[in-house]
Amino acid sequence: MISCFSCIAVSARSSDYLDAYSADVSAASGGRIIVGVSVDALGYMTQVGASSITIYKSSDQISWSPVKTYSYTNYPSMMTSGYYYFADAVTYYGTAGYYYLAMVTCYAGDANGHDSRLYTTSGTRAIS
Amino acid sequence: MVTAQAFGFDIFGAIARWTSSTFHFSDESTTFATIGTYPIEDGEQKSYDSLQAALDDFGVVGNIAPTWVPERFKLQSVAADIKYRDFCIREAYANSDGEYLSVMIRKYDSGKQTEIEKDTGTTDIYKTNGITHYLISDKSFEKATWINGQLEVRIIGNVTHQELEKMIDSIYRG
Repeated sequence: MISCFSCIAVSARSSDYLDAYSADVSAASGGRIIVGVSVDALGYMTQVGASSITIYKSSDQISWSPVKTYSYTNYPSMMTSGYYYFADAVTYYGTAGYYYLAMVTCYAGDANGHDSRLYTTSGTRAIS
Repeated sequence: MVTAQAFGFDIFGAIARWTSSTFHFSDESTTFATIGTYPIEDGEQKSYDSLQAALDDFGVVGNIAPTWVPERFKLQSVAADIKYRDFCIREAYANSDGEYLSVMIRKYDSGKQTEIEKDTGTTDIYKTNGITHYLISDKSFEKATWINGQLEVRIIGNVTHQELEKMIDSIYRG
């Protein structure tokens, strides 16, 4: 369990592979939580996208617990090959009334190496 | 041109914030350029012969597309897509030396904050045509980003600071 989040992603250094990235969480009917991810690479990459997406749940927006992790190894569509950007979304079925946020690992790499950055969204309340 | 070393700026209502390693906008901005229509559905992609043709197809009103790029670059592709509300047009150039240049136009969404990688250098401000353009250095790449109405525009490439400014100037020469 973790207890504090910021909607601002901060990386420690300039990247040789990543240009820019963003993610957000929105609520749709039926408790659906949609996590949108955009990753722009510095040129054409062997792989670009999200290597993992972990969704956290909270009743009070103070304490958050992980409820689902999507990994590229299990969901290959979280990355694209031979391109310079990635944009897609995953849908999680949550519970109306609870808050959800996502921690997304944005990734880009080629034959010479790779890099990743963690992006944390702000929380969104699921609706019925 | 002004070299800005402050942590935050508030110009025309757009707040640009940067640290030593990333840059992003927050809040709303100017209201010049507008999107008129969406010719493709969510999940679709469409290719174009030029960036201006793509902008015309989306009914974009406003000066957005550079009319000059460094001659060493060859146009590779212009594509527009909409994925999960994320409307984006990307124009990509490359050359035989492996250099890369891209112009990206995205619908500005203040709730979806884009983090742009940068090195520890200063962020420069280039004001022209009533728009504040932020010029960012990221090692061998130079980047420019600004908000024009409903659109967020970014240029990134193996170009010089001067070439970047010349590209921006070409947008408004009409």
